[in-house]
Amino acid sequence: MNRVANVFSCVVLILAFVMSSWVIFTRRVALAPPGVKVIRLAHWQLEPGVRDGLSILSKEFAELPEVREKYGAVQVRCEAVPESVFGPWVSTTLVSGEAPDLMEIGLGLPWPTWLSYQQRYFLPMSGILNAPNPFNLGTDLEHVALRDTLSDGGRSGYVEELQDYYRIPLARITGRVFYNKSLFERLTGMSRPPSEWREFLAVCKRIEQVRDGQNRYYVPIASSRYHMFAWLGMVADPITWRALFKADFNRDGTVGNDETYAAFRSGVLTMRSPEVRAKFDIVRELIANFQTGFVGVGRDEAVMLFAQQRAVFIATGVYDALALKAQAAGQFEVGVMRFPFPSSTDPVFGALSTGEVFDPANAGFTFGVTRFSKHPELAKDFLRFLASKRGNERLNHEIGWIPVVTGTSLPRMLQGFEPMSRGQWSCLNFELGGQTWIRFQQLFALLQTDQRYTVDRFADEFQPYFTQQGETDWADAIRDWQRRLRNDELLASSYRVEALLTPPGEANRIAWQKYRGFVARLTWPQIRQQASVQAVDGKTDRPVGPYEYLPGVLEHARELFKSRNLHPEAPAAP
Amino acid sequence: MTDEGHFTMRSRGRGASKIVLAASILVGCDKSPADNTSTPPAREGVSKLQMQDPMRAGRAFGRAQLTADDSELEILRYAENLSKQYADGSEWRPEAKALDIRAFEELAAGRKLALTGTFTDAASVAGLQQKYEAVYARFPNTIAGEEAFLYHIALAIATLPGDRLEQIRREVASYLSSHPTSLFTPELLGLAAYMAGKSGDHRRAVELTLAAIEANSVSPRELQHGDQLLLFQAGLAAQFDVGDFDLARQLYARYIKTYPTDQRCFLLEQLVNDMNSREREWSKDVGQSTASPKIGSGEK
Repeated sequence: MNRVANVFSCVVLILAFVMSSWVIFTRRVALAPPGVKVIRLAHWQLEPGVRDGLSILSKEFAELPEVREKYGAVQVRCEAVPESVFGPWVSTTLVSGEAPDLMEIGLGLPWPTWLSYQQRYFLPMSGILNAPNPFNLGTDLEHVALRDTLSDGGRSGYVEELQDYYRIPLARITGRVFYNKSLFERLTGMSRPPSEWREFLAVCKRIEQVRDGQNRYYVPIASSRYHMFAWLGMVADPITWRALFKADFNRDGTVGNDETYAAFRSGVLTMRSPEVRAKFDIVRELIANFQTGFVGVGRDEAVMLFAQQRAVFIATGVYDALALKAQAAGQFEVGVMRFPFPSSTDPVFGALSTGEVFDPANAGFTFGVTRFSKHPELAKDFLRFLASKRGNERLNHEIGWIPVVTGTSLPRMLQGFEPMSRGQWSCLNFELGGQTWIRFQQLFALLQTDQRYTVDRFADEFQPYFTQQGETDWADAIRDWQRRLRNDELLASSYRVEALLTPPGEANRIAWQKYRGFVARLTWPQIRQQASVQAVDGKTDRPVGPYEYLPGVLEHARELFKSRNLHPEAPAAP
Repeated sequence: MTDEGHFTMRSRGRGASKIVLAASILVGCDKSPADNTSTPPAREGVSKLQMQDPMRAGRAFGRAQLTADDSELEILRYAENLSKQYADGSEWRPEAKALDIRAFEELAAGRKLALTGTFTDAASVAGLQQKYEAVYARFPNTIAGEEAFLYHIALAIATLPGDRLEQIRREVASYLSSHPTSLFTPELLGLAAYMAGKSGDHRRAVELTLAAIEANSVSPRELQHGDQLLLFQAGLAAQFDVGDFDLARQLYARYIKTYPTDQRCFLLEQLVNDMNSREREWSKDVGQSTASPKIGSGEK
């Protein structure tokens, strides 16, 4: 009996093994059919349309005659990995050598980690970015280097620390205000919302006063902790731009955290300076039109409010456009508008406004090719296809995002709301360090939630803390610079070795040029740091502001102008 | 023999020793392969390398592959490739001299001190400067030596009083005239421009900045973005520090053309408008209507 039982157990075991093997075999065959070159692409975009778009483009790519001729049968498998686990997933697959051929880069890990991953596990892309894209054949971009066909010149794929390109962007990301068209028309009697700030606030006021059949009020703007970023980035932060003319001590066109601190320490700026205070005043004007308790509300709840037609406007990234459209399907039409902004005649903010906001739509959705790819040329070609004029336009029309290739059209929903590369931008940065930044966030949260907490009180409480506690954070920032310098030195060493090992020729020359880039990064920090320290101590080289004429210069310019116009042939004055 | 030649030959010798080692393993020599005067091609290759003749060594290693076992083939290919690389290097002096590892080793001692020390007093700064000076004095024609000089100047700018800047600037000028092909010419010109600006010689600062940008244009296809800030700042200096509006407009136009989607373009267009309106006012004084050039239109 025992013998029969043993034999039976063995037979069951063998059958189970055979069945398992068969299942694994058939699955493997399905994943990688014999004779088919398979490449895998991984990304974290779970928004509607992305997976479909990539899937459609993958099939189109595999069916292209030139692809079939070059590679034979091809299959592209797209894998969407949720944002919350993308970082650990990336680390696991890269370290185990199981990484896909193409991977979206940038989320879920600290940037220094991504930096080392790119250096170690990804292929440099200079070669394909500096050559024309073969998939642009027959278009006006046929002879243009791939990087020059991208709206940002490929900069979003250039890794400054590694002095090379490691990624190719496939879309442009920006924010827009979406609105319920029919509800807006019904509540305001207007056909389209105004883009001027005061008029927009007046419309919000009108919406707030209307009640429905059950005497319920409407919310002008649906918002949440998440959605606040868009309003800050496109309205509240850019209103600070005149701070540039006072605090851009190193004249790089921005006001960094060190310059903000230096400006406050030296008294060039205060919390009551018009260009600083305006940011907080405009926030107060804005949040008066949000639903009550928006700070405690998540992203989905705000979208729900909009989808249930209880709110007219919602501001978010264009990547949510299709999701909003899907939520509204069969109920109402979703409209798009630019962010409202004060005009130069605004009674409160006019002096601080040019009426335009820099809204470049940063290139994103960037992909790199991993060193584990069994078919790196095929993977690069698929990326080239997605970054071609036709491929990129098609992909983004499917997804509802903004194409990154120049000369392409926007998806229908976003037409008329192209990115703007001209306008004012944010010129304040309080993110100096741990303590002051935490304090800022605490007080700023109070400003958003407590109507009794005034902008004046916020200014009175934050300014002394920032200027005093900032000393500690400033010292930490200097130490951080020193640490970064050590990291840069280490990276420089690796490129020095690479240059030394590269055979003579063009590749060697380029390797030494890369090395030079690193050395340049090691050269300037000490000088710039000294300049920042001087600025914080109120000692700048210029007796006037960074965008003001030095004493006597304007008179010289005038004399020069006169001499050139009275005596056009005369040599220019020294 | 010149310094440059010396380093070239020495580095070749170091590479040769690797091939000698590989070939020794291949031919089973216990002693130095130089003792072997037999004729098989692999031995000949080793011998030619020892005679600093990598070209003939490469050919010999190539011939050896025709009759070699599979197990030896890889090493012979390596030896042939390496020999060819060194043979090519004989006509490529700037990079060949960079192979001087010893100079980099000495520079590393200085860099270690720079990264770990604090330079709040003159004595510690002087100690670090001595390390840099020793490297560029001892290895003047190597990349390591050039790099040491660059660090020396940067440290001097950051630590010395403003009245010494003119002296440092002369030092840079002298160095550039004696090292016209230095790898770090753009950085040295950039530092010279910074010093000129600090010393109040703003026109010179603009000129040097533009020279740094030109010198940097060695491989615009491969490296980019480094010049963007320099060009922006040169334009600002031309307008606000020198008062040369025509030059400022030219530089702004160049910036906008090169980086058309950059956020600074908006600012530059505003600055051009400001200059144009000032000139319109001034043109009333000179009794003529002067049409100010429009940015980006190409008119002057």
